[in-house]
Formats: sequence, C-alpha cells, structure tokens
Amino acid sequence: MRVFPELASGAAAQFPWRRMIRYRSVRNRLPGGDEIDFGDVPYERRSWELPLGDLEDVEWQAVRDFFAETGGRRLPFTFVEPGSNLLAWSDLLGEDVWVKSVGLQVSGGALDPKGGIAATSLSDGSGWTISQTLLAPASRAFVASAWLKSSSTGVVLKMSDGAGQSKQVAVAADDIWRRYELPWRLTSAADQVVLDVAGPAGASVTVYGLQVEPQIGRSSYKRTTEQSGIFANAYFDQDSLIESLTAPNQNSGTLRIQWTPSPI
Amino acid sequence: MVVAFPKLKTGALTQYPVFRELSWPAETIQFLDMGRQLYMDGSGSLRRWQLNLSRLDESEMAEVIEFFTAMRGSLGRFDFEDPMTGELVSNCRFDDDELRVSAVDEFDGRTVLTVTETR
Repeated sequence: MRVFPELASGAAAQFPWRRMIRYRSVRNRLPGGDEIDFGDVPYERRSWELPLGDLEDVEWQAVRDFFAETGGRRLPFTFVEPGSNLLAWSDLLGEDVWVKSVGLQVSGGALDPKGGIAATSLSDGSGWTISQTLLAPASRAFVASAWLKSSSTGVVLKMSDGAGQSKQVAVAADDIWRRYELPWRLTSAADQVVLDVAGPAGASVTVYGLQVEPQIGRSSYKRTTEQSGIFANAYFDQDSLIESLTAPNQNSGTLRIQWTPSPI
Repeated sequence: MVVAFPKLKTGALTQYPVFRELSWPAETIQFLDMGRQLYMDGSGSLRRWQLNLSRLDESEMAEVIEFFTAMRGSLGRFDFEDPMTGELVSNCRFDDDELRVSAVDEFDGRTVLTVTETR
C-alpha cells in the first residue's frame, strides 16, 4: 500500500495548509434573471497544498523517497487528510459502511450530548459489535474518540489492526455522557485499522460523535457523510519537488496533491 | 437528511465584516445624440453576500465543507438568512463552484463564501 507519509511527530501536516474542493456546472441565465442549471454531477476535484518546513534530514528523505517512488504525477497513492475524521457516515450507523453483528438493534435519532438528536442507540440480546475498517497503515498515529453513554457493564470502544493487535477503553456503566479517547500508535505491518464498539449480551449503549483522526490527540468532532478523510487514488499535482535547506538538518518544501473520483 | 446553511458554534451566521451587494440588472442602448434607452433586465434586485470566516475550529470548518459538498458547489439551492436583516431568503446558491479553506493554525480555519440570491 502506497500511502503519503506522516511526519516523525505523528502529525499528518504542518500549519498552514490549504485545501480546495471544486465542482462543475453549466448555467444558463435567462433575460428575466431566471437560471437553468446543468450539474456535471460526477465531477469533483479536491486538492491540497502542504508546505513542510524545518524537517530533519530523515523526515525529508522519507518525503523525497515517496515523491520519487510515485514519479511525481505518475502513480496514485492513498492520502490521509490532516485533521479530518477518517470514518464515513459518522452519525449514521445504519449505513452499510458500518459492519454490524447479526441481530444488533441500531436506532438513530436518540438525544445526543449537544442537545440534538444525532445519537444512535445500540443493543442486542447476545454479544454484539459494530465496526468500520479504515484502509490506512496501522503503523501510523491515530486517535479514536466518541461520546458514549451506557448503564451496562462490558461495553468497549476498541481499535485493532485486524492482525492481532488491539487497544480498547471501557465505557463506564453510570449512564452519563462522556467523551472517550483512544490513542493508537503501534508497530504493525497491517494495512488497515478497525474501529469497534462492542458489548456483551444484553448490553446497550448510546453513541455520538464517532471519530478517528490521523494525529496523536483528538480535536473537536467533525461529522462526515459518504466521503471520509481517506482518499485512495490521490496523485501529486506536480512533477518536480523543490527542496530548500535553510540550515543543517532543516529541510523545507511544498507538496501539492489532488484527488478526483471522476474519470481522469 | 435536511441540510441547512451552517451556523457557527456561537449561533452566529457569520463574522464581521460582512458585505452585501444589491443589484438592479439593466440594459442600456446609447444613441448618437447621447440619449439613451434603459430597461430593467430582471424583475427586481438580487442580493449577494460575501462572508469572511476566520478562527473557525475544526468542526466548524467541517460543517462548512460538508454543506458545500452537499450543495455540490453552486448547483444546489438553499434558504439563507440575511445576516444584516435576519430575513430568510429562499432560492440562494453559492456563487462559485470552488471552495478554498486554509488551516492557518489550530482553531484558525479561514474561508470566504459568496452566496447569491437567484430567481
């Protein structure tokens, strides 16, 4: 799996960085001011500009090697968007991207800790689990977080690499909303990370704000829909890499990346 | 899922400074004797707002991006609350098909949105 490298600190990028989202439509404006639109619905283009500064030689070497490996614009790679929620449909656990054990009751529209109705209740008479798999290297730094509320014992928020390594945090059985955090930074050769919420027979939990971010510490919740923060088949938007060395062991450069689900 | 133009965490729609443009589209024919004939090109004024957003946290930025994505740029129509009057204006769209967002620092996301009223 070819994946844009993280920095030695576990960060995915440095401030400031920029992103751009572009759609396309044709618009006819009539003499009276009315408009008729034709959307080019399949077209979408996202791009990022990532300035990197003061990287140590080893860090910059990894960036340079990766750029050389892709040959600039030639080969695709997976781009993990900095600061984003890597889960898809983070509020809609009934979506197919969430793998559910048979018999699990998923009820959306429950009261959430923000005063809305975006939480989801999960329960089952037998042991249950709901999970989403992220196609990103398990050797990277991640942090999972979620608001969970349960009166049952044994409910856990869990991350694993699907190859035997896992971490989990137990949910307190006091029926109080808490935001749980589960940092992940393990040595693993797996190309996936799995986020689970699981419970024993008869247990129930209310969930809100499920999130996995590509960084060490969690940030505020970012609701997602169909597109998560993982972009497979991204490309560099440049054929040359301009490097600058401002002092010993202080390397800088700017990378531009683009992604489109549309046929190129 | 119903999507509404996202508000900031404070409940505000936007930040100062906000700009509003009122326009009365017209066509003019200029004659050789310097007289002119002018007629209105539309049925009334259309409004356009420019919203300058800064110091947004990650979730506020994500809401803006999700809304722009749901609208697919300038294609979708939505109701927009005029930040100067509080009037709910229907049939608005983004002016542009492109959204640029800068993450300048932690808790400092910045973008500029232009919303146009249409008929």
